[in-house]
Amino acid sequence: MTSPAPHLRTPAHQVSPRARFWWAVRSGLGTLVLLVPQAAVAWFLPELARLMVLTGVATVVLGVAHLLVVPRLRYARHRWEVTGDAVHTLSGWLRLEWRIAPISRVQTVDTDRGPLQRAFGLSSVTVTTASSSGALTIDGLDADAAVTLAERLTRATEHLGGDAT
Amino acid sequence: MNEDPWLRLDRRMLVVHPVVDLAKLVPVLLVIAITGGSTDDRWRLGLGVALAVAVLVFGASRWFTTTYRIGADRVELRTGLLRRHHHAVHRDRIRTADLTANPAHRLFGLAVVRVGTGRREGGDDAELTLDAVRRGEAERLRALLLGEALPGQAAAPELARLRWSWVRFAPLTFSALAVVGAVWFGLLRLAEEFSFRPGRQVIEETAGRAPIWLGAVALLVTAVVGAAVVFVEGWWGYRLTRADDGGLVVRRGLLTRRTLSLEGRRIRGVELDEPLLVRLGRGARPLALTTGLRSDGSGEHVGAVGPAMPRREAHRVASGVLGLVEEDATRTPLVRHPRAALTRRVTRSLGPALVVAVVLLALPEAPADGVVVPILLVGAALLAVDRIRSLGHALTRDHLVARQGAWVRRTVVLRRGGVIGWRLEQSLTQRRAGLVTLHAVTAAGRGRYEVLDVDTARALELVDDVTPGLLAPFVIDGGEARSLVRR
Repeated sequence: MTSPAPHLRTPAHQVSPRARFWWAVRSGLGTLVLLVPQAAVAWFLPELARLMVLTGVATVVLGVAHLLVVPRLRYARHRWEVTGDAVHTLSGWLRLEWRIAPISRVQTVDTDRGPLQRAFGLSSVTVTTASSSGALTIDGLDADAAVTLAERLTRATEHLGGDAT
Repeated sequence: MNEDPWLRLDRRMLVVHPVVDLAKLVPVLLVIAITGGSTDDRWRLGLGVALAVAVLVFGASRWFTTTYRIGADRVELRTGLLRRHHHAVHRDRIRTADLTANPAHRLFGLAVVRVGTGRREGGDDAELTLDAVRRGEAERLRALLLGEALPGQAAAPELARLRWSWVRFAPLTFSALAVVGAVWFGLLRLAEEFSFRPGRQVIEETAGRAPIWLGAVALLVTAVVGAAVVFVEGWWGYRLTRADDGGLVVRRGLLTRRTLSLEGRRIRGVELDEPLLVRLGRGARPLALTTGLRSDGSGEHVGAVGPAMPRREAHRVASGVLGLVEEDATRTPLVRHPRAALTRRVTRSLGPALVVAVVLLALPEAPADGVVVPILLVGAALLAVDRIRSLGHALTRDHLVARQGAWVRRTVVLRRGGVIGWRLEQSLTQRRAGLVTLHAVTAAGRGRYEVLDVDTARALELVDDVTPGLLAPFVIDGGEARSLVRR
């Protein structure tokens, strides 16, 4: 295993730097959602209040750590590239996941902007194929870049015949 | 294409629909007949008769209001008395045309044609049902819609037919457990219905004295008998034949006759499932991986091309579906995975078991440590050994073959052309071991099939072999080879 062996270079493009803030806000909101039931329990069942303070503190500590670390890792890892043959995405922060969808198999290209993404001027592009688990999503793209990319992909796929299965 | 005439369902449905509807009404009529006093008897009778007449009229009206038309480019169906419904399906979207017949249909020589577009969502809209037409007409329609030759014109080559000895696998399948549950639940409900609530004393006198093995035997007997009954109902007259377009036709069923057609150009591969119990009985179950199928109402995978059968037979059927010899399909000699992959099977199986064992031993009052802990550890070790024995993959001229699993050992043979994408996954521990889990994405079956824990270089080789050039722009040589991606 020490001999040189083939492996992969990263895809060329990173997502928008603003995606870090989007992921951070999303992480923070997630932590808040976890805190609400704990606060409710502490309020309505005073005998459990002490325990809830303990778990609450743990939740906040873990939440802050997640908020500080994960968005940066995601930003560093998330990459995408469209070659002549296929769309490639690389994602994940602990577990790496490289997805490939050949252009000839692409069925739909969607852009999607949630309220949170819109606040940061971001957009997702989702490419689906005939497989029930073949979808491929690029999150946190700059909104204009996403529109351009979606148009380019749609144009690349529309002159291909067949039902892509 | 307006010259195609609108057709009606078979005239015999004038009888079948009302009778079937009336049969469903029997319990209600019985309740009306039985309950109540004597003063308003005439009133009660009138109500019952009125209800029955309404049902009969409505049932008969369905024949008058339902028409269908097979056009050159689409199939149309019009239904409804008060609320008219017009349903149309494009013929080139049709993926399946299945024939079913319940006992009433069969009595009159009729069959229901269910035309499916294979869409996974959309519920009822994705399906169009002709309930019902003459048996011969149904066969003709299916052949017409799927572009097959008429059955019976030439003897269709037969791939498999039912052997009654296969019934021995029925109690070993998971559905046997479901049967036990259903039977006992049914009995309990029945007892409740007849307000059979034995007093505490009675229970103590009967159940209290009955030895525990009696209960176990009762459970076992219901499991075996129930599974056998379900098997007979589901697989009576099972025949797997090859259609002219290279597709398959599965015929089966006692009370409800089911006919499933799989188009040849939609078949992407086969799978051989060996659930642990069935495997211990030296059995296996063949499945076809095709696009445009979903699980039917009973939760059964409709890609099943046969019941659990002897392993030898299952290999023959699965390979026959692909038109290959067994050594090129499900019995392909497999490549072993790297040592690190085998180590991972052991750690992943024994690790959790060890944690549980330590916790059990640490707890001061945990009962039966001396029995549970050894069973747990030995079981985990056996599981790990079995997973190691199962693990393997191969690339043949036309197919990607992968096998894994202990609880259910699955052997998947996927046509190279059926691969419509990839996923490569590497967790932190896999990265340290230099392994990758490769998923071949496909439109058929479960959507993707994994090759578990292969060497990074081997994974890239597989991708490049099946879909040449796809990853080429990214492949670089040199450096430490454990990580999938070098930054």
